Amino acid sequence: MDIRYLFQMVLNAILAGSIYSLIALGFTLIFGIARVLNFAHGEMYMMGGFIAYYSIVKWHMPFLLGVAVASLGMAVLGIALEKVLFRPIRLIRPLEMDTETEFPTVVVALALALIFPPIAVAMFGTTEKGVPSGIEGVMPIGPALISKERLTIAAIGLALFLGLFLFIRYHREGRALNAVAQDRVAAILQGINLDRASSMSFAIGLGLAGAAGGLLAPLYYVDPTMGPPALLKTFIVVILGGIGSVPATLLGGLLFGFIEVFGRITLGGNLPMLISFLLVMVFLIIRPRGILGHD
Amino acid sequence: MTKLNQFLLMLFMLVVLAVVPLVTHDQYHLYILSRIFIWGTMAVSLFLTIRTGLFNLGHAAFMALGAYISAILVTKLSVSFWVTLPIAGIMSVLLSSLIGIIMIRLKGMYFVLVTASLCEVVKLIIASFPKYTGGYSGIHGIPAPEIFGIDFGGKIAFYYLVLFFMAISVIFCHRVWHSEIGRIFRGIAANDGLSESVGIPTVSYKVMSFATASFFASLCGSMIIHLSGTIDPLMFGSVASVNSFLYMVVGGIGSIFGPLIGAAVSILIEEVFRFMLQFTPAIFGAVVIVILIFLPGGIVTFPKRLGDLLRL
Repeated sequence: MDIRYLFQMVLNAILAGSIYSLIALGFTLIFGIARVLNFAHGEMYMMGGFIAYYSIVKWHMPFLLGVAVASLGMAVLGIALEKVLFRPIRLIRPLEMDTETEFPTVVVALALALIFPPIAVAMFGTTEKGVPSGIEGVMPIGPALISKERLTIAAIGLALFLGLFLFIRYHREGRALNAVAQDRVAAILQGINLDRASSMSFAIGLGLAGAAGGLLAPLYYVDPTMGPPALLKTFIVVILGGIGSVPATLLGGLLFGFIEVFGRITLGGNLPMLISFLLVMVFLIIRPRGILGHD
Repeated sequence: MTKLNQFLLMLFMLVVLAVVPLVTHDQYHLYILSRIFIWGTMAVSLFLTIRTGLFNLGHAAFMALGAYISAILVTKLSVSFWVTLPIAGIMSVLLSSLIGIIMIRLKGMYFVLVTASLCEVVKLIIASFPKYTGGYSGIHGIPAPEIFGIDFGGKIAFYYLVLFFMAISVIFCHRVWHSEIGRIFRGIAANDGLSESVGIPTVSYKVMSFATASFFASLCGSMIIHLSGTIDPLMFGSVASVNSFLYMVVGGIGSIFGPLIGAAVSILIEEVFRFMLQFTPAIFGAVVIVILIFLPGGIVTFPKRLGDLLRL
């Protein structure tokens, strides 16, 4: 294989991997803190893409501003959904069951996943929308010429990821989130406001999904049916990376990015997806809690 | 409700459903009722696994298995429906036991995510082998089953077949649920560790519950393709799994009849709002949320809820 081609593929894999880990990180954050398995996460990614499309194409914003608007818009939606729907419903218990996942919130998330695509169709239509990033030109890195657009997207994805990692590790609010994820009761006893933490997890989680939707919009088209495939990829990354570790999520995302990109050029079709799922199953047999994951 | 009353009510409902084709010859009504019977069976069988504490969001994966086994055998090899039905059932029991043994070790969220991915993955597998499965365009012109000279292609005959199938399946699940095994299932859901510590082989029982549900799902798959006459992978993606799960929740998971009622109400809602085209799923999603808020126990708790309200 041509070395330049290989280089390009590696960058593509890192790009896809970093964006997937952003989406997956939001998903695990919402699960770890608000105890909601957000099955509408793929739809949030899709809505983010559409907000970015509107900001950039219709309202002529620069690419980065459009992504920021998409991210902020989804963060606001996240807070609203948490306050109006998920928080009251968390208290509903139809049956006493020893399931780790909270039953009613899963139902709400599934219902939301049904509600959002028709809304998107009504607002944006069914045609695929292209979003130009306005970033042009190529940059020589080593032997290869890499498009600046892809480089920028990968850099933003990784920067967002690093920023969030530092926030959770060192910032006061972020450490509160970490505490809730580790031990809810102990966190409450330390005076951490659980409702505030839940709202914040939704804001960050959906904000990341929105940013991912905006970031990937110039590379892929935006259309109302792109939610479920994104959700499936998120699941695979989450399972590979496990819950409770931010670096492991990045590792899971990059691993999946490499499988997908190199699988697509060598095997093609749906096979990379099936291989990653098989890999997931094998991983889970050996390590039922993910690569680096723990309880 | 006493046991006798419950039995009489069931018998009454069965008789009513049995005379429906004598009253109406409208193909559309019979088609809708047949769909309700099949999806009701899906929801009831899913109920068994959910109430064992297995949060299974990939129930339609085994529906797809049964459906494709039947479709391929019937169209490519001209095997009779009555032969493919048991083959589909046995294959799905074998496969679901195998997958179940692997998956049941997974804790909490991992089980949910793997089952939820499973149905999408099955869809991808089907689409990847267009030589046998027809790929995304599927297989068309699946002939109707026939026995003793009765052609089940007529909607009325097929209606009776599906009604009989549903009655048998629901009675079977009901008997399991109210037997020793059902009590063990509930015990595992209530406290996995405690059940293990009193000597119940929880893994075997979980696999049993998973395999039983998958068996019925696969039979439902065989049925539904003969109802529609066509098959394609999009019929069995996550949408089908999520639907059977939501039908169950709408009806209520407190009683084994809840999922059946839920399927009936949900499919009727979907049909009533069919004119809204692509908004139909959104309406159903909104209804699910409203029911969860006002009737957390599902529609089966409605009479009790009404009684409580009137007494105040």
